[in-house]
Amino acid sequence: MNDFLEIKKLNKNVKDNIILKNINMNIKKGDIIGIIGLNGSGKTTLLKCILGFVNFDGEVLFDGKSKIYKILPNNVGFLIESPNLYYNWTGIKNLKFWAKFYGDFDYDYVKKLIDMFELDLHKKVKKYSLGMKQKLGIIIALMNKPDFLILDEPFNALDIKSVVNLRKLLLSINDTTIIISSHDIKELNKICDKLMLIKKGEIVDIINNSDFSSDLEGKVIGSVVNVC
Amino acid sequence: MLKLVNLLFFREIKKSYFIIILAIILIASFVVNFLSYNHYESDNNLINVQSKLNEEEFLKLYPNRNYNRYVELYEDYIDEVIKATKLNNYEIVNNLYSFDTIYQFQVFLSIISIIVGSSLLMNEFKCGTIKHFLVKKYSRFKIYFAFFLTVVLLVLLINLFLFISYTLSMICVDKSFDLLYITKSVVLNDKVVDINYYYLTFTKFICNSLPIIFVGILSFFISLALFNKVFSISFMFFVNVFGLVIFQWLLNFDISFLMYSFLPYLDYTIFNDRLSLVEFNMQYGTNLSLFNGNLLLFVYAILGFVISSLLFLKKDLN
Repeated sequence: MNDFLEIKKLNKNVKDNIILKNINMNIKKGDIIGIIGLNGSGKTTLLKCILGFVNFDGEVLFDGKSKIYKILPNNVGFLIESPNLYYNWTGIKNLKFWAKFYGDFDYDYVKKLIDMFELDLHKKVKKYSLGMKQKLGIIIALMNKPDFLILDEPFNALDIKSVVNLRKLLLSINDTTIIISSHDIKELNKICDKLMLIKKGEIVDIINNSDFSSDLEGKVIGSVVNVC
Repeated sequence: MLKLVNLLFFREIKKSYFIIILAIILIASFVVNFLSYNHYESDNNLINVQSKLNEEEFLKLYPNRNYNRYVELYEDYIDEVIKATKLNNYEIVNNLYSFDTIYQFQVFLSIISIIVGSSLLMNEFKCGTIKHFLVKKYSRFKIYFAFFLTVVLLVLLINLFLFISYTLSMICVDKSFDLLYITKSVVLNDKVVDINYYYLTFTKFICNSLPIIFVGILSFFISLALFNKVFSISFMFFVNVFGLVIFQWLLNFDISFLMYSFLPYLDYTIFNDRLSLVEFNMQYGTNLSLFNGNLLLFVYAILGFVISSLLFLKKDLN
């Protein structure tokens, strides 16, 4: 049986700069993968390559097949860098527009998400705080119960309550393959099955959940910064 | 993909800016019709026939141009003068309520077309929302094509809305439907025939809409090539306003291949009056025609579509 996601010899260069170098990884369905690395190490670019937002050399295979737009599972959710929203619209208008792309849509589930994040959807997005925009971005990413979820720095700008709620939510979703890129090692420790450490565009270490120790932070810093 | 076009089209027409544009068109139609209610047109204007230049005079004025070509074009011109005076010979006077005021909207429609064409896709890039479309199981080409079709549909809608609002305002100002049934005498195949003036205006209006649609899609292509909405709008404004003037100026330097550019075809009002067209051709040694215009705009649209779609397919969405 094929892996849910298989990345083979992925390289990404921008002019003469090597952004990603020979990335190989396999992800099984339902896995939650954390990606950790310093700023500019290539985490976000890797996520963009997986979703086909940028061109690259190598292969990204979903269920053993290429052509991302054909093979990408029906429901994909993502939050990459800043939330991608229509700033002149209200939160509810943003949600309603993207909801139109899905055939059967669980409004109760979305209502539950909105209540969970205590978000006022009747304000224009341009009047939202950074945290509110982040919450709306997360709700849009999760609104159709995605099979595949990519979250880049999802805990940024969120209040403590929302961080806890998001963690609980991610742990409660079954059968969804999730890739999270974050600097918050403690949160990733609680959520992820595997941690992937990336340094200067290369995967330097993969730590399984069973190997997570009390000194995970030190181990991660040791791998990505080489100070320990 | 039709679902995507449907979503984009109805999303745009519900936006406040689009409703304001339609409201301006409606109000302007009433104002123009009200102000020009007593404006009549007559074809029996005195035709000022240009005298033929001899070779010496011609070469003194246009040292780089071919005299034989001028002679050919002068003959066409005289033929057209004869046709135009035919109505006078038949002693037919077209003294009609003028529908020509509708062409005063051309510049406004072109500006709207440029703004719509330049903004639609660029706004998605600006907000980053284009990424959401990419994970909705549409190929990049389908997304690009859907946006392209939406631009065409929006510009068509604006044009159609102008014609409808113009007709409505005309009926309201005249307080009758009579204006829809008036006939105009024209020369067709050397015969004077009466045709429905409203129908004639409608066909001319549809024809005049073609360059407006072209300007919209050209703005769409250029916004993608320059990857900047403001540059694209500025550039297209410049080309649209000064295109014909630049074309005429460059013809003085005998740059004849410019006839095959889209510059002279950005405004079709020159084709509304056949006599003015042949006079222009004679004066500048060009062979502008409606057929050439339609063909060239089509070819440039295809070329622009191919180049900009390739740019879109290769574009990194950072």
